[in-house]
Amino acid sequence: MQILHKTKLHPLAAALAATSILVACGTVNTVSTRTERASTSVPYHTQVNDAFANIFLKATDVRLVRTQGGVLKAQIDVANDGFRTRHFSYQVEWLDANGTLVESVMNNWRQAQVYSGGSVSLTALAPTPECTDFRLKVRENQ
Amino acid sequence: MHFRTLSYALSLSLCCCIASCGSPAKRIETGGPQSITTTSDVDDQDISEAANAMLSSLLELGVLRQAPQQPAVLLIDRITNDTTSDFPIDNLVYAMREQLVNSGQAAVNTTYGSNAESKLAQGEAKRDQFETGERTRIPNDFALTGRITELRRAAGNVRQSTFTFRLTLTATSGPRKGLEVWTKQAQFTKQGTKASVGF
Repeated sequence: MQILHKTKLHPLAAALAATSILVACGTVNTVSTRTERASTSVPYHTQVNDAFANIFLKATDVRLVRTQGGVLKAQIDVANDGFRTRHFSYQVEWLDANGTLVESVMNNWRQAQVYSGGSVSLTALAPTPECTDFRLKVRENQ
Repeated sequence: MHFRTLSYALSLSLCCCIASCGSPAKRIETGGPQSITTTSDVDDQDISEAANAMLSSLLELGVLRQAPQQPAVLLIDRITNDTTSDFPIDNLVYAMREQLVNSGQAAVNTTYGSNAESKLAQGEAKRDQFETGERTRIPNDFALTGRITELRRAAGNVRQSTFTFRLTLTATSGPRKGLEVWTKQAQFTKQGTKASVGF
């Protein structure tokens, strides 16, 4: 009876250990000293988050700041609450005050990855000081 | 006889099937997500990302806005490719020039030195100088130099290459003449056993 009990416990313990190892592999434990939204946060958080939710990621903050060079810089903080590293591509297109696309070689696709449990800050710089808004495209890599 | 005809027909249809299984030619976005990714070469998307990283750093810090004249005048000096990958450096340089010159943030002096990019424009300037007797010289603000290097490693079948793009701006006028005023490096590490289509 005792032997039977032991054989039942063994696979369970093994499975639990294996799960712990799998979850621990490639997982990043992330902490931040910031507990509130930054003063430069912009109210596009929900829309940006929708784009990332499709690839199982979460946008935690979206900021726009004017750099010392006079152009805007966008920063999008992306977190991965899932169990595997996500590889994705993104494109930031900049628009002027009229909503017209500002053509630039800086509107190229860029690649990023975010580890399980980790986060990444995507940054994009406006090509000219006239740019006021941006458009974000996100695509999960194959 | 009947069997032979049937086998010919079958072989022909099999050949047709194999021939049509290939990927048909199509246009894709240069440097876009459908581009080919290799492990041992510099790809379109690497050049685009490097140009973007360099431009972003330049514009964020406002280095060009510190020049005594606006727009700042750039000299394109030597940018060397020290990698085993054969790719045109101009793809990087012209991407940056396009952004900086066309947006009015910089001007490139194409008539400078013995290896001037525009010999005709240089000749015109020399002719003007000869006719007027006045020596006119375009004041240059910065010289752009750079180097692209590569670090290769392998573990079994898995190959890894790190390509490092380095650019430097040296002031050619003003109080910081001769000093490096900006530098930036962008790195891309690629790992895999074979090239793939798409990111």
